[in-house]
Amino acid sequence: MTLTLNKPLQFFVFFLSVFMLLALMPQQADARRGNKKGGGTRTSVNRSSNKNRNVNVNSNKSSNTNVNVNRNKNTNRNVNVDIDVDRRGRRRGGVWTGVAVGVSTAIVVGAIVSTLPKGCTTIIQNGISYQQCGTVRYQPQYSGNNVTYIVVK
Amino acid sequence: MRKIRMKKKIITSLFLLLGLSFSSMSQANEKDSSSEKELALSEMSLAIQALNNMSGYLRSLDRFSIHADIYVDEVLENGQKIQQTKSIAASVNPPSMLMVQTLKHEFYYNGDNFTIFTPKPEGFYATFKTPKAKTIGKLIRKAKDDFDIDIPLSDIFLWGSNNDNSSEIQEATLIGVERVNGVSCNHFAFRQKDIDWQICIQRGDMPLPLKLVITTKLEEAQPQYVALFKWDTSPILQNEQYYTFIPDENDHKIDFQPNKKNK
Repeated sequence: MTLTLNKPLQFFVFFLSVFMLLALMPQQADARRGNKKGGGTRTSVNRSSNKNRNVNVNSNKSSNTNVNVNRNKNTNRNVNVDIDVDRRGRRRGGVWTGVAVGVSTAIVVGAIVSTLPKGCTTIIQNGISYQQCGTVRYQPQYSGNNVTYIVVK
Repeated sequence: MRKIRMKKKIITSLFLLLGLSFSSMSQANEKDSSSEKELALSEMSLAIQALNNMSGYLRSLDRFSIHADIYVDEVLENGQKIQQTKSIAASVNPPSMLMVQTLKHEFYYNGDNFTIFTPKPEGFYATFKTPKAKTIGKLIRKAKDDFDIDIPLSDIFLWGSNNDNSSEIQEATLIGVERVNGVSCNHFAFRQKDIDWQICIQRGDMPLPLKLVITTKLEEAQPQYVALFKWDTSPILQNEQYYTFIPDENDHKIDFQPNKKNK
């Protein structure tokens, strides 16, 4: 026995299936991305924070920063900051030239890195400790349990 | 005619028998499931009771030192699961003195000041005052909420405190008696929304946690955190100075990055 559908119904079924496909596809993609990002391994049963669940998700991420791989992620984030500046520069200048490339490699004040380049020296000014690496001056700070360096000069 | 009637009778009685047996079977099943439920409930209350008993005992200790071997999974971008080994030592003088040492950090709390210290090669430290918080439980919460600092082994200090999350337990089972580092313990397994966790509580009149396993269910790879604890419930009494950070001449005081979550 074959199922016969009239034409409007056929169209309806066709559009429904297309709609379902479109509706489902991005969700799958999101799920896959979500797996890759990951929240990290929980290291305590009792949540030390009484705030909402988002905070706890973040807390898991911070526990993750102990792994070098994730530290590199932080560095990447700073590279992104540089790119943003670069874009702004490009918009202002309107021309994609070597100057723009120069801007993109320059280290911007306010950028945060988790590792310093080699050959830095500690300097203390007004009781505050800085790391001088060539022409760039970094101020160390605790970001959670880890020390990061914010560019101040 | 008679034969046919007889046949009919036999058939109806057979059906009756079948029906009866089915109904009795289903009744038996109902009984089984209800008793199973009762058993599960009593097991859960037993496990929770054991957990509360342990928590109460932890909070009753006037001082202790603990050494923990930690095995923690980290999942790489490619899905590879890596197990890292860590070692943590803590010296605790409740309610408000704590010193924790890990490979990379030292944490000091003397009731007034909390200091996180990153030894050489960095030699950095940062301090915040704790005017209101006079308990380790409150300190852990302030460190997390205000500065995003995770103090290791926080469960040991939070069980039995106001921040105890044992109300989130959905299922609890007694697995059986096991031995950790040669000490007998009762193994319990708990299920929560985001995590499954297991604990082995020392048998006898000192119900200390000897092993803790946390499985993160939100992650596809289900990474685990495993902690094995060695306890000393009568360590040498240390004075306040022991819990106070005293910087070396090569150590540098730095700031905490403002916590974005508070903004």
